[in-house]
Amino acid sequence: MVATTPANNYHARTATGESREPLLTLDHVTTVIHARKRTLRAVEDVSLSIGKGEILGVVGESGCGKSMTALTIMRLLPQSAVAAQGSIMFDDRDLLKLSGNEMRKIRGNQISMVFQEPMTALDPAFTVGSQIAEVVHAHETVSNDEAMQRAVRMLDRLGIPNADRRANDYPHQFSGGMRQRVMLALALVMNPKLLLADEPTTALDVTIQAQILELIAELRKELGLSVMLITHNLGVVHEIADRVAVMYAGEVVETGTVAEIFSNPRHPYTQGLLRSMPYLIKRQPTLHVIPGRVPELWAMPNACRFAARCPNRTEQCIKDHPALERIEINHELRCFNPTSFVR
Amino acid sequence: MLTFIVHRAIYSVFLLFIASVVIFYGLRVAPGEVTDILTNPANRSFMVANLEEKLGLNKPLPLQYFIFMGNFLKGDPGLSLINGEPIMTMLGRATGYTLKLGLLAAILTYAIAIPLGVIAAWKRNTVFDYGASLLAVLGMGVPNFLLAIILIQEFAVKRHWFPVAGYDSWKHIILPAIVLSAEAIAINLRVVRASVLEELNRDYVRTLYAKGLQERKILWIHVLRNSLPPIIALAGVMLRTLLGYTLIVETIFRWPGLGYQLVNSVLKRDYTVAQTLAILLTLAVIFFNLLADIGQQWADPRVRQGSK
Amino acid sequence: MASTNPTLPISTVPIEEIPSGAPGRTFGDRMAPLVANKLALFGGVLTLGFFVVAVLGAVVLLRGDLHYLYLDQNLRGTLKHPGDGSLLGTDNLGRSMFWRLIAGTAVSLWAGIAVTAISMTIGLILGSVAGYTRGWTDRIISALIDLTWGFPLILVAVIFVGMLEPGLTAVIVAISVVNWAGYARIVRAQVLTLKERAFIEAARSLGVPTWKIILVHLVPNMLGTMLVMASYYIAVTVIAEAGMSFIGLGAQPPTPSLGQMVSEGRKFLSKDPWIVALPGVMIALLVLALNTLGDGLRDIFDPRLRRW
Repeated sequence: MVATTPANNYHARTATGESREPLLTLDHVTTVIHARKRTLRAVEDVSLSIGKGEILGVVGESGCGKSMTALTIMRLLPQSAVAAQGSIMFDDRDLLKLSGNEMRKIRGNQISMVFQEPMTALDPAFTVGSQIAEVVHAHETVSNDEAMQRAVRMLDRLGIPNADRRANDYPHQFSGGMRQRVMLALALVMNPKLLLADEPTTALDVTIQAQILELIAELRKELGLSVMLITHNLGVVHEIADRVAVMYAGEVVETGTVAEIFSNPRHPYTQGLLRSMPYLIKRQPTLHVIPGRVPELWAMPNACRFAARCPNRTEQCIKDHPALERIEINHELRCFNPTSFVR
Repeated sequence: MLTFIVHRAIYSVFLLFIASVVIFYGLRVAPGEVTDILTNPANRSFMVANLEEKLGLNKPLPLQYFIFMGNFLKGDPGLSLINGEPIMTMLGRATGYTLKLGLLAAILTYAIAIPLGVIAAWKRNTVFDYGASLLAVLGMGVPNFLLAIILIQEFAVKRHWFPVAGYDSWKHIILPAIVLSAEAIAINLRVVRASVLEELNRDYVRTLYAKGLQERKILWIHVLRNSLPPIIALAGVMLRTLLGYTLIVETIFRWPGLGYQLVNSVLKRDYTVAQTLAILLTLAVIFFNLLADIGQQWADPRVRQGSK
Repeated sequence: MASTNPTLPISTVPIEEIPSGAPGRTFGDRMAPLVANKLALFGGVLTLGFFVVAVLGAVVLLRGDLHYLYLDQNLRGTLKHPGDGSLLGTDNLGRSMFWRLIAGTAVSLWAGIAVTAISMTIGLILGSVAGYTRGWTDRIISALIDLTWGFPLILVAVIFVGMLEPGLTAVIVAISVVNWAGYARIVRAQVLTLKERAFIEAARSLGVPTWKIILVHLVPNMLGTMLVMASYYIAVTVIAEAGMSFIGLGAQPPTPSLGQMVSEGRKFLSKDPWIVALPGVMIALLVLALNTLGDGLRDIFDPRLRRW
C-alpha cells in the first residue's frame, strides 16, 4: 500500500549546503495507536534528520502527527501506542531498541523535551529549584548543594531575575512566560545535545513568544544545541529555524531549508499554508482557506492523503500513494503533481 | 478567616452548652434510679432517702446542673456513683487506653491503605487492583462487630494467637486495632486509588518522565505527594466516625477506654460518670469538627457557610 | 488539468468517495450506560428481596397472634443444624432461626425507613429554608448543620439510650438527630444552585408563595439526589442499629434484632456457628444491597456524589 522511499542519503543536507553531521535520524518510523478495535496510524513512515546545532521546524496542523513524532523519539508514548517500524538513530544507537532504563538515562540528559502548556507541566507541589536539581540528581551523583547551584545558574541563564531566591518559589508563583523559561531550564540543565520543543510558545503572549524564541536561538549558538521545533505557526519557523519539515496526516510531505521552502514551496499543502498567512503576502481581500478536513486516523485513504483537498489533484493522486523524493539537494517532496508557487 | 474561627468557636460553645443541658437532664429524667442499683430492697426507703441526701440527688434539678457544671469546669466532676472512684482518675486512665488504641488503628490504616491504594492505581484493572477493590468492599460491608467476632473466633478461640479480651499485654491491642481500622482502611484505599489515578493523568507526570527520573521516584514521591489533599480531608471525617466505633470495639474486647466506660456507665446508670463522659466526648467531637472545618477553610477559601 | 489559481473550479475528474468511515460505536460504548444501570438493577433487585422479607417480618411482628413464630421456645429441639428438621436451624432456646431472621430483618429495615423518613423530612425542610431564604435563618441553620453532621452515630445513640430507655425508639431518635444534617447539607447546596434558575424566577415574579415554590418546584428536582442519599443512609442506619443491639442497647427482647442474635450466638460459635453466621450474613448482604443500589442510583442521577 505504501510505496517506500529508497533509503536516500539524508546525511548531507544543511541550511547552506555544507555538510552538517546528523545528530538524530528517523528512518521510516511508524507509530500506531491501538484503540479499542482499531489501529490508528498516527505517524506514517516518517524519515527525518536533524544536524548538529541545527534548528528543524516541524510544521503542520493539529493532529498531523508532529507531537507524536517527538514523543516517539523520547519514547514517551501512551500505553496504547507503539512505535511499530523503523529506527531512530542517535549517537550510533537505535533509540527504539534501547531498554527502558537506557532510554531513561538519555531523557533529560542527552535529549530533552519541553511541552506546550507551561501551566500544567510542572509539579505544583515542589519548588522550581528542587525540580531542576532533581534532573541533575537523576543523571549524576552530586551533592545537594552542587545540584542546586546548577539549577540556580540555569534559571539565571534563562533570564529569571533573582534566580537564587526564585528557585525556592513554587510553579504557581510564576507567570506563563517565566514558567516556560523554567521548563527550558529543566530541559537544558544537563546540557543535552537535542531539544524537542513541542509548541513551546503557543500558550504564550505574542511578545513573550518572541522572547522565548530568541532565547532558544541564543542557546543554540551558545551550547551547540540542536532543536526540533514543533509548531503550527509558520511565522515562528521563519524566525529561527534552519530547515523545515511539513507534515500532513501523519506523513512528511515536504522538507527543505527555510529559504527554499518559503520562496519555492512545491507541495500544495505547503503552498496553502503559506497563502493562509496574511502577513507574508501583500494585502488580499479575503483570507485564504484550505477547504476540507484532515481524514480521520482510522480512515486514511490508500492514495495521496491530501488529494481530497488538493486543487491540483489528478487521477493518479487518488489511485496511488506518492513517495517522499528528493527533488533538489535541499528539498524533498511527496507529490505527484506539484506546481510552482504564485504569490 | 479569623472571623470565621471566632464565629465557629462561639457556635461550638453554644452547642456544647445545649448538649450538656440535654445530656444532664436526659440522664436524670430517665427511668431507673441509681439508687435502685445501690440499695438493698429490704431497707429500701430508709436507705434511699439517706443516699439521696448524700449524693445531693434531692436538690432541685437546675441547681444540681449548675453545681455539676461548676465542678466540671473546675476539673473535679465528682465520684462514680457505683464505686466511688474519683472520675478524674478514671478518665485519666481510660483516655490513655483509648489513645493507644486509636493511635495504633491510625497507623495501621495509613500503613496499609496508602501503599495498597497507590499500587492499585498504578496497576489498574489488573488482578491486584480488583483484589484491592474487593478488599475495600469487604471492609465496608462487614459490620465491625461481626468482624470482631470472626477474628476472635478464628485467632483467639481456635488458635490462641491472641487473647480474647482484656488489656494486660501488647497482644490485647492487636485485634481491636484491626477491627477498628478495617473500615477506615477500606475507605482510604478507595480514596487513595482514585486520587492517584487522577494525578497520573496530569501533564506534569509526562514532564517527570521527560526529565529522565526513575519511575519509582515519580510514583512514590511526586504523584503521592500530589494525591494527598483528599486523603487529608477524609482524615477529618474518619476521625469522628472512629470515635463512635471505639465505643463498640472497646466494649466487645473489654478494652477499658473511654468508650467502654461510657457504655458501661449507661448500662449501670452511673449518672455522674455517664454525664461527664458524654459531655467530654461531645466536646471532643465538636472540637474535631472545628479543627476539620478550619483546616478545610484554610485549604480552600471558597468553602464558606452561611450568607455573606 | 492542474490549476494553479485556487479560485478556478477544481478539476472535473470524478473522484471516488474517499472513505470517511464514521466510527461505529463499539460494544463497550453501548454497554456503558447499561452497566451503570446494572449496578442499580442488581442493588435494586437485592434490596427489593430484602423488602419482601421485611414485609413478611413486619406482618409477623405486628400481629400478636403470629408472635409465636419467633418466640416459641422448644427446649428439646435446641441448637439444631439447618436442614435437620427445621429450615434454618434453631437457636439455643429452640426458637426458629428462620422466623427470627425474617423478623430481625424487618426490625433493621424499619429502623432504616423510620430514620430516613424523619431525617429526610427535617433535612429537606431546614435545608430548603436555609438555602432559599439565606440571611440569619441560613446562618443559624448552617451552623447547626456543620456542627451536627459529622457526629458519630454510636456516640449519640449511646447517650440517647442513656436518657431514654434502651430500645429501638431511642436508637431511631438518636440516629435521626444526626442524620438530618447530612440531608440538609446537600439540600441546601442544591437549592442554592436551583434558586438561580429561570423557572424559579418566573414563579417568584408571578407571586407564588415561598413555601409553594419550595414544595412544588424545588423538591421534585432534588428527589434523585435524595434517593441516592437515602440508600446510603439506610445502610448506615442498619449497621448502627445492629451495633447498638449487639452491645445490648438497641432493640430489646422479645423483639428480635439481627445484632442481638449475633450477640447471643457468640457463646456457641465453635459448634453451632450458624447462629451467628446467618444474622451476620443477612446484615452484610443487606448493607451490600443498599450500598450497591446507592452506587447505581448515583451513577444515574448525580455522579457528583461519588464517595471516591
